[in-house]
This record gives sequence, structure tokens and C-alpha cells, in this order.
Amino acid sequence: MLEALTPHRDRLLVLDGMDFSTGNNHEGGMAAMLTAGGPTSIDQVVASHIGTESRFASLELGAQTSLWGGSVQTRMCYRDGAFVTPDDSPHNLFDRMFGDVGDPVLLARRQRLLDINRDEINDLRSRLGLEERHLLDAHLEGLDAVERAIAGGSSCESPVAPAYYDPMSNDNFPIVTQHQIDLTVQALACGMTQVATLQLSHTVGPTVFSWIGQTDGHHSLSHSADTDTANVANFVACERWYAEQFAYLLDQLSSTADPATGGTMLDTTLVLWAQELGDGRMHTCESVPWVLAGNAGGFFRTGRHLHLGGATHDGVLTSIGQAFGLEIETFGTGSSGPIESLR
Amino acid sequence: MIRSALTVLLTVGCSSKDETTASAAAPVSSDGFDSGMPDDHSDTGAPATACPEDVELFEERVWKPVLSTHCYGCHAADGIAGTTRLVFDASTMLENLRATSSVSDLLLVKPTGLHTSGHGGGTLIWPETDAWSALEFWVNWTDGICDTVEDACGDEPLARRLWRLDHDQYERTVLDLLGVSTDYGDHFAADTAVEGYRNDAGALVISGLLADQYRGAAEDLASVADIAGMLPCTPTEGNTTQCAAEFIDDFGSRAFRRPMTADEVETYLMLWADVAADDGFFEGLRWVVAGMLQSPHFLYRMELGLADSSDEFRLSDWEIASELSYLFWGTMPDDALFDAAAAGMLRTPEHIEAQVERMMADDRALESAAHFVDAWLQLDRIESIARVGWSGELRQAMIEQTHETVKALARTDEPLSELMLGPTTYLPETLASHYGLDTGGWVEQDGETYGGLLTHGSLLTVYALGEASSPVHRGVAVRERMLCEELPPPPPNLDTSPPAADAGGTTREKYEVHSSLPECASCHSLIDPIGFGFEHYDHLGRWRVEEVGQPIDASGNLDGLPFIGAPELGALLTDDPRFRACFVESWRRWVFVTTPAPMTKAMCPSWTPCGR
Repeated sequence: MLEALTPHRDRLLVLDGMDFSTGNNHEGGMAAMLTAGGPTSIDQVVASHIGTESRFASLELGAQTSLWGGSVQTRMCYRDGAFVTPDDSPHNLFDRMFGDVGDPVLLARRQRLLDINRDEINDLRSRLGLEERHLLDAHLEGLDAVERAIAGGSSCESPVAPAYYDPMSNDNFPIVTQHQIDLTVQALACGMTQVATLQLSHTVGPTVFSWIGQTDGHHSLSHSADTDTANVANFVACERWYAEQFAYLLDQLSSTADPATGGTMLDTTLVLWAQELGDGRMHTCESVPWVLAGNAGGFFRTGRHLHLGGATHDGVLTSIGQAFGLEIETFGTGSSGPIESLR
Repeated sequence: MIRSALTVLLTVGCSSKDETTASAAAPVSSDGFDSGMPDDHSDTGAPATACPEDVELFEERVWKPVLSTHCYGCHAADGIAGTTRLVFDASTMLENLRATSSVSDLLLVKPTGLHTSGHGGGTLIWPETDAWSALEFWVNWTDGICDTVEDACGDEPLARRLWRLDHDQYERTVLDLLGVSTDYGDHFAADTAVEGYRNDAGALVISGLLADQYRGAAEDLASVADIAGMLPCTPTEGNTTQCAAEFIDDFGSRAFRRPMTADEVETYLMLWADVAADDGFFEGLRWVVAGMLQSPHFLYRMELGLADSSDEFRLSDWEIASELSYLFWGTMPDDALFDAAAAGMLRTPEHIEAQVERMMADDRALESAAHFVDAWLQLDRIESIARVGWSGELRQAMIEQTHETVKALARTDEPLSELMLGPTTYLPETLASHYGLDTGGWVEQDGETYGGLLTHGSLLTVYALGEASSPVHRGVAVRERMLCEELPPPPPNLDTSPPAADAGGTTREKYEVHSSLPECASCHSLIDPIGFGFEHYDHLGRWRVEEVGQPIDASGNLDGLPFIGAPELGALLTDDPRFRACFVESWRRWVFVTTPAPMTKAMCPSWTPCGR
């Protein structure tokens, strides 16, 4: 399944035997995967710690995550219990990253509109009860993020924008994935953000991997019985394709210079490949296979296949938080503490 | 179907028996409102006097129609709920009355599913029903409100609130405001789906991502809008400021759906002046438009009301105009509605009815009806599905069949039974040839192979697998979307693998394993017997008489009622009060964009809660 990662094996920590500390089934697994039951997912916790100076505190990217709308099935990033919605459009993301930033007149006018709209929101807010104010509070926070994003530039030359295609169309899933990976690496390398998440499809995934000859959706294939050898093979082919995408991300990170250190981006980055179920057919979150790559500047000892023997994933998330300097001993509602064998 | 829509509006809308304040707008409460004024809480707390223990009233109004039929079966001493706080004994009506009095705080919230910990028997009573009104009446009675007048109109004030435009409303509003047709809604950050609906008022928040998308859209729209064509004046040297102010007042009042205040005009005029000084009259106005399109006054619909007493607010005339336009058209008010609001002609039920009559005759109302059916049955998922033999043309044709058929029924105000059973439908040529017919257009179907919504290509294809029919998906769709009975996901640690695709046998034979295993049967007995009725249609909705050499068996069962084939199921549903209640509830849910009740998750005994 992981053959595509062979060139990067020295940079990998392949985790086996890890159970979720909480959550089971599609929905519970998605909700708990990066939160371990807490209100805020690990990416957002880390972003609050290391992303405060960045143009984007974090970037959430997706490939066809939202065709069913936002729900516990389709979201993995949380901040204070609310979904953090990924951007499923590489074209939109490209504009956010490399759009017409830097023109001082344009910026001043955008700033002026933000100020007017903020005044309007504050005026409305003062006329509303406490219960209704949360909508406007979230709106104000959103405008703060916009303000930071439009003001900040880029240390990189703008690459060529991706040609337009429909990012929602099933058959465009591979090109969306590739472009989102490219943009992730560029955002990190150009110092636009320190934290990025990329979500491919969602639980109960309807994606049909037509580009490798599949005719049934990922979720349907995941429920193939062992005796159904043809569809088990089809499911493995889909999972291998995912491994190839993860390998492509590592390829890009390891071939992009990190201007801050002189090494490559992978030397100073930690990449987590997570999924929400262990045995998808049984809907359980036990023995969920995750892969860590890069060692976060030497924090983790990579090049190993670790059997965690039932250790729980809140511990892995705690260790990840510690790798980024967070002073935490537990994560979410779990209590296992960091997993020392990762180091 | 639209008739029921109208009924919902007028039922919810009539708010008061008092002639002088009769209004189509529901009063809104000041709950949580910080008015800065001293609060007078003299009307809260325990009632000064209790209502009499009127056994006869209780028996006639509450026991016979509701408690004896909906509740007594479980809440008897020897019933499944015999150990709860509410236990009835049919022989002593006074004791029954007292039993309800002791739990009056739960009497309405439990069976309606409103209680946070749910109701063991599931959601039994729905809003806008007689049963709901009866319980509400009794809760009021036990709370000391001794009002025996039957009042179909709930006069509970609603909370003041803001509703952000959903993405579809945004597109339609932009079209009416600027004359620019867009598909921004397809690309904006997807909103949270609550019970499958993506327009839940509480979930319509503006995140940083969406705020940035609104910003980009506003700038783009301002650059392509025909501002010169919208000018109410001709700018000449010497009057540019005057003309800009007129545009701001005129355009702003349409964008904000109410008259601009003088301060607002001034704010936007200063913005215009600063930009215009560098880049000219029209560039100034473009930034005004870009600003207004990001304004909360454009992005949110307001239900703030005007204070008319110490603790109640009434929707303003302008707010009522927007209520009506978004309710029936999904877009901003037109000139006639604005004019009516300005003239104070939206304040009585007669005024409202006249507007509704007018609005229902408009194509926008028909579009809204079609859009509702998409949302109700989640047919919009057709945009992203992949099927063997699928094409963009076929997708468009299937969407067109459903939309045109629904619109035709709504246009002539047909009853719901026509939607479910009517033989007349529109088959675009692509779809007709897909079904092996010689010609398309408006056709009469035979009502045995095809006929009614359940046999629409859109429904059959959305609820199918890549290359096979799916009795499970189709059964779940009927159970959850048409009967409003939510099913839990399969519990963990249960092997849910269907038999191998190459195991031989028909689809039905393969799926029948579900009902043979006890751990599967508790849910699948609620799903598969319905879904089997669709077996005549393949994964693209095409009729088939046999599968793997076996004749199709499309016999099904709806909770004890046997049927053969989808048209017969349609007939059973049409007669099923659960279906009719579900349809109205779904429509109510969609237009009022709130969730009154978490659906029951207690239908399947083997279900285990999961997640956070």
C-alpha cells in the first residue's frame, strides 16, 4: 500500500496499532481524528501558537470535501467547536495567495470598505441580544482574517495560475489534488502560512476513482467482503493512489529549498497523513493507520515502522503539539500523555 | 403543494387576535435583548392564580385527541415508559390531569423531540399540527393561562434575529439587484448542512474564507454592473456630488432592502468622493457598490423589528416585504413589494394575501418550488455523482424533468398527490432516448412502469450505486426524506459488507442477507422492504424486467402495507399522514430555516451513539 513512499522511507514514521481515544464510526471518527474530543483540532491549536504572525494563520485546503455541505461527516478542522471550512477551489486559493496584492491604492480602498463594514456590524451588534451576537462576532473575526490576508504580500514570484476547470467534477479530483498540494507547498515555502491542512474527499466518500478505471465509489468499495476479491483489489488500488498523492507532497517538500535554513522544506516540516477509521468495514476507530513524515527539525526519530500496541491517538496529537513548542501534556479529552517512542 | 406553502405562511403569520395589532408578521420577543431600558419582569415567574382542574376540558381537548392516542400506549403503568415521570391510568381522568400538571415543563418538549436528551418514543408530534396546538394549550393552562379560545395561530413571539442570505439567495438577489447572472454560490465556502438543508439560520455564519469570497465577488460584480444604467440622474459638471448621493440613496435602498439613513448616505458619499477625486465619478460609484455588497445590511436579512411595547417588537414594513420575497421567491423584494412597504400596505392579512396571490403567479415562485424539491430530496447531489454510462447531458435532462414537472404542478396549484402520482411529466429528448422512447417533451406515463416523483430519473440515479441499483440508498431516502424518520448509521463492530458483487443472484437476493441477520435486521427491516420496490430501475433509472436472467421482484412493504413497484409505493405514501406531515415539515424547515427538533435517533434498538 505504501510502496509509493519508498523514496522517503528514512523520513517516515509509519504508525500501527493506534486506537482513537474517543470516537467511533464515520462521524465520530471524523470529529475525533484531529480533536481527540476537544473543541479545537491540533492544526488550529498549533496555528494559534506559531501562526499568529503569518499572513494566513493557517490554510485549509480541500478536494471535493463540500459537495454535501458542511457536516460532521465532511469536516475535520475545528476551532472552538465550530467547523473550519476548507477551500475546495485551487483557483480561489490561488487568488487569495497571489491575487492583486501589493497595490497601495487598491489596498487602501479595500481597507476603507472593511472599516465601513465593521462600523455597520458594530452598530447592528449593539442593537442585538447576546444570543444573536455570535453571528456578528464571527463575522468580525472573519474580517480580521481578511484584513491580514489582503495586506500581506508574498516573498515569492507568482506562479502561473491554474487553468480553469470545475473543481467539483468527480473526474477532476486528481488535478484538484495536485494543484492543492502545489499551493500548500508554495504557501509554506513563501512564508504565507506555517500550518496547512489538506483534506481529500470525506468520510462515506462518494468519489469514484474513474482515472484508475474504477466504477464504484470509495465508500462502496470499502465495504467489499473478503470473498469479493475483485473489489478488494479495487479498494487497494484507490488506497495506493492516495499513497501516491502523499508521496507527491513529500516529493515537492523535499525538492523545495527552505530559505530560512538552507535545507529543504521537508527537513523542517512535519507532515501527518491521518484517516478516520481503522477497519472501515466494521466502522471502528481501532488500529487506525497514520503516517508521520519529516521530523520537525529532529524532534521525531523517523525511518521506523512503529507498533503502538493500542496507544491512543490523543497521545500522538500531544506529541505533535509538543514538537511545535506547545506546553501541553494531554490533548482533547484524552489523558495518555505524549508517546515517547516517537522520539 | 403550493397551497400548503401558503397555509404555512398564513398560519404562522397571523399573530394576534387583537384587531388593532393584527399583522402578517409574527411578533418577535425581546429575549436576550439588551435594550438599555429598565426591565419590567412583573409578567414573568409563577402565575398569580392557577387555572381550575377542569377534567372535562382536559379529556375533550387533550386526552382524547392526543394523550390517549400518542402517549398512553407507552406511558401506561405496564407500558414501556411505565417507569418515567409520566404514567397514565385510563380509569381516573383526574389523576391523568394531575400527572400532566406535574410534568408540564416536559409535556410539549418531549414528544416533539425538542428536549436535548430526546424522547424514548421518538418524535411523535410535529409543529403546525392539531396535536401540537392541543399540547401547547394544555401547557399554557397548567401554567396559569386560562384561555380556552381555540387559536390555530401560535402567538409565541419568535426571537429577533439575522439570517444571512444562503448561497442560492445571494445569486438570485445579485441577479435582481444588478442584473448580473452568476454562479458564485457554487464556489463560495459550503455552508453547514443541518438535517440535509444548507440554509439553517444558525449555521449561516461568515468565516474568514467566506468574507474573502464575498469581497472578491463584490469587487468583481461592481466592475461588471451597469452602473450608468442604474443612475437615477445624469451626472453633469457641477452636480456630480448630488447625483452620486442620489445613486447611493436609490441603489442603497434596494441593496439594503429598506430606506438608507442619512448617516449611511453620508458614509458612502464620503467613500465615493475620495475615490472619485482620483479616478472619476464612476470608479467612485463602483467602490460604493463593492462596499454595499459586503455590508451586513445586504448580506443579512433582518428580523429586528420595531419596539411597540415594553417587551415586544413588530417586524417593520420593510422586513415584512423581505420575509415575503425570500419566502416565495428566494430573492429581494420587487418594486411592487417595496411600494407596498412604503405605503404601509403590508400590515393586514388581506394585504399579505393580495401580495401572495400576485407573487404566486410569478415564475420566481415556481423556481422556488423546484428548488425546494431539490433541497428536500437532496437531488442537488446529482451534480457530483459518478455513474457508469453517465453524462453531463443526461444529468441536465434529469434535472430538467424534475424541475419542469414540479413547476408545471405548482403553476396550476395541483395537490401533493399529483406530484407523487401524476402521469404527466416532461422528458427532455436526451432522457426520452435514454429510456428508449421515440420522442420526448410532455408525456403521459402509464402509472405502472413510470409515473410520479418516485420514478424520476434524478431520484433513481442519485440514490443508486456506480453500476447497480441500491435498495438501501433508495429505502433510506424514503424513510428519512419522505417520512422524516431519521435512521442512525450502522453501529461500530458490525461487519456491514454486502455479499460479493460476483456472488451471483439478483441485487435483491444479495441484499436480503440484511434481514436475515438479527444485528442488521433491526435497521434494515425499516429500509430494505421499501427499497426493494424500486428494483425495476437500474442505476440510471432505466426500466428492467429481469436481472441476471431472473425476473425482477419489485414487491415491497411499507410498515406492514404490501405494494409492488414504485408507483404503488407513491400511492401508499400519498395516503400516509406521516408523509404529508413530513412534506409540510420539510417545507416549513426549508423556508423558515430553523431546526425545531432534533429528529429521533431512537428507532433502531441496536444503535449506539458515536462521536463527541
